[in-house]
Amino acid sequence: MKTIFSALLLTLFITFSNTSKAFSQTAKTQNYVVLTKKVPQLKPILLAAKSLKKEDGENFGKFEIIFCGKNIGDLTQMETLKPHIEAAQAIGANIIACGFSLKKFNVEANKLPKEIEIVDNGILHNLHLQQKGYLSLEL
Amino acid sequence: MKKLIQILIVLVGFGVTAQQTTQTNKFVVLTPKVEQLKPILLAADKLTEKEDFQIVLYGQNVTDILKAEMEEYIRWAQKSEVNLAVCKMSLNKLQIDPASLPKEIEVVDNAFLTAFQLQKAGYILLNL
Repeated sequence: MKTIFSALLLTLFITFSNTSKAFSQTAKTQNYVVLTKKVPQLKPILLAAKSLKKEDGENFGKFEIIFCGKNIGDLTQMETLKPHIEAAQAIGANIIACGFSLKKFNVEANKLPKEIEIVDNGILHNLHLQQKGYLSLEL
Repeated sequence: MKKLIQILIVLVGFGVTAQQTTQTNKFVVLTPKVEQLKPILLAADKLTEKEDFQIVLYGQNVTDILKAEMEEYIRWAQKSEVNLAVCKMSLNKLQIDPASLPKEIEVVDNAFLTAFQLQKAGYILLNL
C-alpha cells in the first residue's frame, strides 16, 4: 500500500513536471537567428523580424542576423547598409559579421560599421544559439 | 486500493501521451529552385505520418513557377496533400502579378517570416 502510494506520488510529480515544462516552453521568450550571405536579403529578414516582434509582444527575445560568405565585403558599404542598421536598431535586432569570412576575403574589421558585431566563426555562433533554443533560418 | 491503481494507470497514460505530442509530423521546406520540387515531393510522399507539409518558394528564380512544367507539380502536390506557396516579396521584386499565378499556389507575404512562424507552431524546417 505504501509503495503504491509513493509510486502514485512519484507519477504525479513526473506528470506535473512534464506539463509545467510544456507550459513554460510556450510562454518563454522566443529568440531567433538567421544566417545570410547576401545584403539584399537583409530587407526581408528585418521585415520578418518586425512582424515577429509584433506577434510575440513581450516574449520577443533576441534576433541575430549572422552575415558570412564571400560577399562579406558588402558590409563595408555604409550607404547601402545604413537603412538596414537603422531598421535593426529599431527592432532590437543585431547584425553580426563572421570573423572567419572577414579574414578569408581580406576585409578589414575596422571598415565595418561600428554597430556590427564580429564573432570568430559564424557557423559556430549559429550552432551555439540553436543549442540555446533559438529558432534558426539558414539562407 | 483498486481505485489507486486505476488512477496510477491513468496518470501514467497521461504522461505517455504528453510525451508523444512532442513528436512533430509537420514539415516546411523553403526552396529557391523549382527543380527541387521533385525530390521534395518524393520526400513528402515517403513521410507517411505527416500531418501537414508545406513548400515555400522564394528568391530570384520563382519566375519558373510560370512555366508549363509547374502544372505537373501542382497536381502532384494536391494529390499528396502538400501545400505549395510562394513569397510575395519575391514576386514583387520580379514584377509578377500574384493574380497571374495558378490559384492552387498560395501567396505568403514573406517566406522568412513564414519559416519562423511555422517553426514556432512546431514545424520541422528544411531550408534548401
